[in-house]
Amino acid sequence: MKLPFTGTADYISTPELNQAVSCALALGRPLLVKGEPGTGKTVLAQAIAKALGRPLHKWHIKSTSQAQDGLYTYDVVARLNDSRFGGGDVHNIRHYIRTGPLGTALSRDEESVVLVDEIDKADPEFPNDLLRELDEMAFTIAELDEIVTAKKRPLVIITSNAEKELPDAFLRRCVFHFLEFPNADRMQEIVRVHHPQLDEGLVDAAMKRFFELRHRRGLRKRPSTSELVDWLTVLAHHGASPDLVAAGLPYAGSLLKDESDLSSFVN
Amino acid sequence: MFLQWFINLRLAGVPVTLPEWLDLMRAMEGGQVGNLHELYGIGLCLLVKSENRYDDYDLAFSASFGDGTIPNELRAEFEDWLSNPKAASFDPATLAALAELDPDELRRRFEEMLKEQKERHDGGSKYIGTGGTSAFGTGGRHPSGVRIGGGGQRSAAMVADKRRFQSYRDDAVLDVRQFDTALRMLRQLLREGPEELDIDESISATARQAGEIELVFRPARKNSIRLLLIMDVGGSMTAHAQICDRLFSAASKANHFKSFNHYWFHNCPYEQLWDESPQSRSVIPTADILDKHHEETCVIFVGDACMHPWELFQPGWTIQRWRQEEMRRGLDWVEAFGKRFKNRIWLNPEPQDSWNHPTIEAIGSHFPMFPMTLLGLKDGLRELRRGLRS
Repeated sequence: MKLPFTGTADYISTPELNQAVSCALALGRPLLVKGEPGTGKTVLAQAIAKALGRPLHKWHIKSTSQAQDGLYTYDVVARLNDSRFGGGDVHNIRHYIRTGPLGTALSRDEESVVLVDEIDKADPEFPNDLLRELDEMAFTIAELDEIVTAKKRPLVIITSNAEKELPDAFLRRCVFHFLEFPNADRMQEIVRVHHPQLDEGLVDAAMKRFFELRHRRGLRKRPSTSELVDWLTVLAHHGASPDLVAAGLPYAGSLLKDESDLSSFVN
Repeated sequence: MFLQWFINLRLAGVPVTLPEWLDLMRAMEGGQVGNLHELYGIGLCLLVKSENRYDDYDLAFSASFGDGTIPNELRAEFEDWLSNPKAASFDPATLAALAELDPDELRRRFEEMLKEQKERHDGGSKYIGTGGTSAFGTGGRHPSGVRIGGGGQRSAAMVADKRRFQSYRDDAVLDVRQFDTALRMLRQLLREGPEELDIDESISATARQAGEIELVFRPARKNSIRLLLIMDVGGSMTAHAQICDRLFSAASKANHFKSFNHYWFHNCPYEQLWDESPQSRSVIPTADILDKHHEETCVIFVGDACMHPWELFQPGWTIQRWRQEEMRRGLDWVEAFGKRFKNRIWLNPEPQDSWNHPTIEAIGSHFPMFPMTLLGLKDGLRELRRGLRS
């Protein structure tokens, strides 16, 4: 079977991930991507949008985010202000309706990709508030008494750091993919994509140190892919030699982000 | 065969529901599945919604499409038992004799033995176990032995057989982050503290004043949970020190609680508990702790609850000193906590099947008790949350 997404030049994919994307597209279901921080969940959405040639609408979730924010907001304060002090067409509510990332994707005629980033940051009830919208790919603007239905179902990609459990009803509607931490071979490919020019010896030495650290017991925050990539950038910038990396852990601060991890390593 | 797969998944503990199964059927009709590999991948992303269940999925998959290696009901036992390999060595003569067994013969004998064997076994030369010289089991040494979980099927069944998601199982022990994640379940958002603009109220107030803008503020929503963590240290708890330490660091690091306090005790809470740390030996009267903390506080006790019955049921008994004067029993103190705090749980790091001990049962009658696994912790926190809603 021909898959619509098989990774891009700067995103290394896996067969399972390609299949999950294809499945989400075929069924019109949201794709829920879960994984350790730093395993490239957000970058994945960009890569998929690029590979499919669709625009990407990003919705970054905060602890205060409400489901409504992603659909539309009604700027009632601006209208109140206009009605009191003049300016703007206060009689046309439409002027004060602003669509959010999901709302924008649903109301446009083109095929798009919507990224709902870090859904687990929000209130535990948040996903439940989006059930109907994600099922029907439609939403109601109560102020206008209008239902907006997507003409082309967007591919919704939802990421989660597993900070909170997501509700079952929500999970049932998603295609689920767990981004495993890359093994050494895949990591090598990923590093090559980000640092094509880097000296082979340095990369090998750094990777060796990195996986040793990952397997070290008692670390509070294990370094992830993005930290390895950053660390290599720092090493390259300072012109560190493979021997230096093999002997110690230069510029450990870009790899270990927890104070006690860092101090336990220094001592 | 497919329906059997569905049944196997449910048996393995993957909570597949009908809508998800229908999605799978739709995906198959849509040409998403061309071979067994793709079936594995599509099933993985449509039927399993948590990496904790991936391992169960793999087992169910290889049971349905490979020739299943281990009967389901025996799996947990094996897992547990094979996780503690013990070292063994043997002489060249045995080695030569053992090298001659052929794979089919091995499998046949393995299955026979599975039926025959009922208990854990370590270090022997016949039964399945760890560290032995039998041809079956794990961590042992046998030149042509069968390693449980490392079967020899081909294609997708082989992928499933690799069991690479084993480390994500949620009945295994926990790390700090998992504790941290689980503790976030404890949230009760109430309007308290700093204020934010109340739009609805502002509009009605403004309307009441015929358009003269009036801004109304109300407190923002904040987590109102108070957490009290009381842990058993030393003695029989030494073996569990690492996991307790992880829970402690996760709880003390979590900054979303309204308040967090912690105390330590040894074996059983008596008239005083350790403040700060057990090493500092600074103590605080238990009665004060009971008074000081709000009755809505969520209390988590951690301990094996396993001690000599005297230590719990005999008045005036403490393990540090033994006084004749009038004193409350350990159990009275446990009961006092039970009376004061309705949101309380007891996490027990000992495996659940060893809980049939008089002191564990006595404490369990005052505290809902949960095993200290991810599953147990989540069930426990759910129990705490239930108390909050009422």
